[in-house]
Amino acid sequence: MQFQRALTQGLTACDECHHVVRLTEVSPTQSQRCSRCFSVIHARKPKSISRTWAWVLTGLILLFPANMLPVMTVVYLGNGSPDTIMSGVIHLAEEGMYPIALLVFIASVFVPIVKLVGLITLLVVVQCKLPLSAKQCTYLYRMIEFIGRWSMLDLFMISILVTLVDLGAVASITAGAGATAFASVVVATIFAANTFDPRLIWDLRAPVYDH
Amino acid sequence: MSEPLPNQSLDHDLEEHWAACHDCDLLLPIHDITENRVARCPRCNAVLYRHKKDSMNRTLAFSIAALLFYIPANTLPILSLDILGNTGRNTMLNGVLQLWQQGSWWMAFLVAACSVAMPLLELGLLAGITGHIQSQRYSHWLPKMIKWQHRTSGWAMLEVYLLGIIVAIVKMSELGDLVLGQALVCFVVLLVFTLCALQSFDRHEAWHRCMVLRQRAIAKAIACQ
Repeated sequence: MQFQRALTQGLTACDECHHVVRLTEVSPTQSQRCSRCFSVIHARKPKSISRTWAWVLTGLILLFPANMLPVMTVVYLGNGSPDTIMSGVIHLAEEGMYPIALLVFIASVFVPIVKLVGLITLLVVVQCKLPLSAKQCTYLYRMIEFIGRWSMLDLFMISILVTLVDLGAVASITAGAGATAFASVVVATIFAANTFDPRLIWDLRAPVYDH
Repeated sequence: MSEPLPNQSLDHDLEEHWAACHDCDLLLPIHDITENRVARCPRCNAVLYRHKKDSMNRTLAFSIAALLFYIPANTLPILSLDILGNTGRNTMLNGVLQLWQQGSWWMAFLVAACSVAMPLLELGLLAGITGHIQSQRYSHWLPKMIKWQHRTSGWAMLEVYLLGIIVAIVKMSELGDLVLGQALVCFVVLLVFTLCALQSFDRHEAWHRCMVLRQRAIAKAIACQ
């Protein structure tokens, strides 16, 4: 079966509405707009590689404070016990709640790392033109896009706990600096996945590619 | 098998004949698919479009139904915890307020966006789009709404919030008397209807209907002159 890239034919799908438009020459000060949704047309997402690198590096740097600083502090009768993400997971496991411990571990520790490693792999594949299966890279990209949102679990849980345990001087739970850093990691990785253009993986192939 | 390729003469009705895969840029002729079938890219398996039965009607119904449950789900207590006679109540809104008061404004902002603002925006946009289409009215807001629905989809994270509630229940059940509030029911109903509305929404058809309405509006404007 013979496959043809849209770009080879001077066509592209609009980023916003996936409407197929013909790319036309425009002066540098102007931009072509989609005839259906009026968005600016780009053949590929603009500056995709550098923007994705920027978000990935941001996420990678913030991953350290997110895991090292306390995400929440339980204060009970004046004694505070700060919890990092990992110590929270360990507490749950010690109390025998293995399924929930595993769930929190996957959502808060495993997923952010997998996302960052996956995105770096994709960026390196595109930049160094590594001969990896384009189809599998696209599956990796789709998985990264899908799992990102589930990392918000920990933040929602903290927002629930701070209101449930609010007994003034007796007991209270406060969100820590680690939670802010972790929230930023989640947002940075979601933006990184959004700015990456999976079509770049397929552009590495010859314009006409026989399958 | 090789597909015929478009040439310049097809340019004016490209949208009728061609699709380009958004993941691998493969050029494909659009085939009409039967109801409840999915068109996938033969090269990378991306979902190009799916034909959903009675999409506009169902999305409108589900999104209005979900909106009815939105206010109780956000303002009534979802969980309350009794420790030594003191009761802590959690509603979706006071969780955000508490974080804000503790100084974690960035977290408060994110939680507010993903669990309160974005779901409302999503439902409002879905109801707005399908309401316009069902009443056969065109306004310049219609393409903007479809575009923004596509942009913001993915930021409404009610299902993740539900998982957060479950983890909180497990964590706190040993500390004191945990009572599940009325809003938990409202929240689950809101979540189910939101997912149903999103599941039944056919963006491909929405764009198609939007274009038909726009052409009709233009023809009418010309006829009036």
